[in-house]
Amino acid sequence: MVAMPAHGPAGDRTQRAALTFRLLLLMALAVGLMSLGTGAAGVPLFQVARDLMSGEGLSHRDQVILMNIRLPRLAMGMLVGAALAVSGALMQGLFRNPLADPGIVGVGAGAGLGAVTAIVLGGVLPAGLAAVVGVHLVPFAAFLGGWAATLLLYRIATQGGQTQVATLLLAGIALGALAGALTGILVYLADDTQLRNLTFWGMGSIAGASWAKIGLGLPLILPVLVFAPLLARALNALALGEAQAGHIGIEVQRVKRVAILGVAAAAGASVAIAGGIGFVGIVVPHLLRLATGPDHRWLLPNAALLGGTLLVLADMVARTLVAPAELPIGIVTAAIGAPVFLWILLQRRGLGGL
Amino acid sequence: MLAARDLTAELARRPVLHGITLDCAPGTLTAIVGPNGSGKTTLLRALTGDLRYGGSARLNGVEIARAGAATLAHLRGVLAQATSLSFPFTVLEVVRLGLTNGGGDARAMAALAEVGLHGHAGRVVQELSGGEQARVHLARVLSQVWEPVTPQGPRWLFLDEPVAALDIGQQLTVMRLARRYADQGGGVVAVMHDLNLSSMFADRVALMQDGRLLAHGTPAQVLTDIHLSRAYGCALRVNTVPQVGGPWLVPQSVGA
Repeated sequence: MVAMPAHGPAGDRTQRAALTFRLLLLMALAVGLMSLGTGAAGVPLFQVARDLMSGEGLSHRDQVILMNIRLPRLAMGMLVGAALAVSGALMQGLFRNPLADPGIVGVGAGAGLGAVTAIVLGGVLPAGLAAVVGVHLVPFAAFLGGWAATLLLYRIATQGGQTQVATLLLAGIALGALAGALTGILVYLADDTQLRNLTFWGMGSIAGASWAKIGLGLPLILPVLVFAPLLARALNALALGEAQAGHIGIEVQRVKRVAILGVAAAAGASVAIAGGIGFVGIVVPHLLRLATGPDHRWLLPNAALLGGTLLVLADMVARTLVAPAELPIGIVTAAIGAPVFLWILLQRRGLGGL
Repeated sequence: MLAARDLTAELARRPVLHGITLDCAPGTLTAIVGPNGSGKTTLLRALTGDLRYGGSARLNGVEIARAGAATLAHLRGVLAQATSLSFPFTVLEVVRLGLTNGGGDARAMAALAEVGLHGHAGRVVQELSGGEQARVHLARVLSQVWEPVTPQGPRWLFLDEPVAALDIGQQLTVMRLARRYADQGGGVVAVMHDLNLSSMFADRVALMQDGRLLAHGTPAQVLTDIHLSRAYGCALRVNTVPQVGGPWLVPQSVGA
């Protein structure tokens, strides 16, 4: 953990958070390099660096492995991990609760329903429109599905600005089940080609990384990562309650609408390109709040860095633990994340209710 | 000036305020009193822009329902009845949230000193007692409208039961703060349960019953046997404090 700096007034954690940001940046770099050097085929990174600097260029084999396999995998891990962690932090700020996570409360299932709908029913679109949306139809449909689920969840679980956690989690289970059932019906309706597309999409994880997939997710995820910190002050104020946030000058309804869109875009796009990867959105913001406090001005950028780094690490574990086979990365994140979720639950039980 | 004209409001489609007309001048402290369910907090919520209302309510000439959150945040601070903070912020971090109209950590620390919490800036809010948490939020509200008068006009403090969670020493500290804010030219409107504190500190008392204004005037005019027994439905004897001369209330009998 980062030591408290000697300067700054008592109760000020800005410097600690800023220091954490720099450490996370270094960690992301280090883990990124490590992941480039890790895999079934040996690619000696020092040799690669020497080749690059001497101007000789890479061997064809190394170039193919790095550019077509390892680098997209690294980029997708960082992108999806950041999207999961930031959408988790946004959703927790919006619902004023550290247990709200898009994967747990049905937003991921809603996004999945959107993606499957696009694959199965996408053919009914007029040819002109289909040509315009093209390959972006699936991620956009996932975004719409996630958005509808988040909106519905907010309407159900929040009354007068107060979220009942029991309602939130139970409504999330119900929404997830409903989305799952509708997804099942669509899969049942699908023809052979669509089934094959569905299978490929369903297998989606970091393992299927490609520059094309990254290109699909980037337009939805990048704006959220870049612009989420603009909501930070409002989310901090929202921690006081909706009315109180309004009293200090926040346009609460507008902030809520934007935050819901952000959650849906980041969570939906990550589901569309990588499938459901659980618990990153819970664990990362929680660890950061323990280390540097809940100030969203730092929580959101730090969550992006730590989320990306942790997912790349989890991916390295997934592909080395049972090598030459690979574990699905969702198993790794759930094995680490579910106990942390239970741990938060137990801690909050001590506080007298959720 | 705070001017409410024929103000009405509903909660869950049930009318709760029936045509309230009320003027509060800057430089005065107005206590809104009345029995539970008489509409005190509803009136305050309408006046702070939290609740849609019929009729008109203007703060320094600005129609409250049509003003944006930022405009209102410059004009007035609001201390809600209870604030539950959802993440473990420190005391300093919470007071900083109130610094929407400028002023740095120096102002935050000064506001904490005003409420007697200057040594607590580094504590996590949830670890404090209920009374301390209430004062943290008061410090946050104070730091928002730190100067009672700006070149644009007077500022306002709206307080919903500001002393409910406090011991008697802290009650006096908070009421003196409110009093001084009014003496320096700001306006204070406070929903109060304690009639004696209202009598001691308020310039004007607005007595409510069933969503109507039963009486409005100085404490001596409003806090009378007739008004109070009608509003509260119980017998209260109004005495006079020897040194101060204001009314002082004692329940008339212990038995039924």
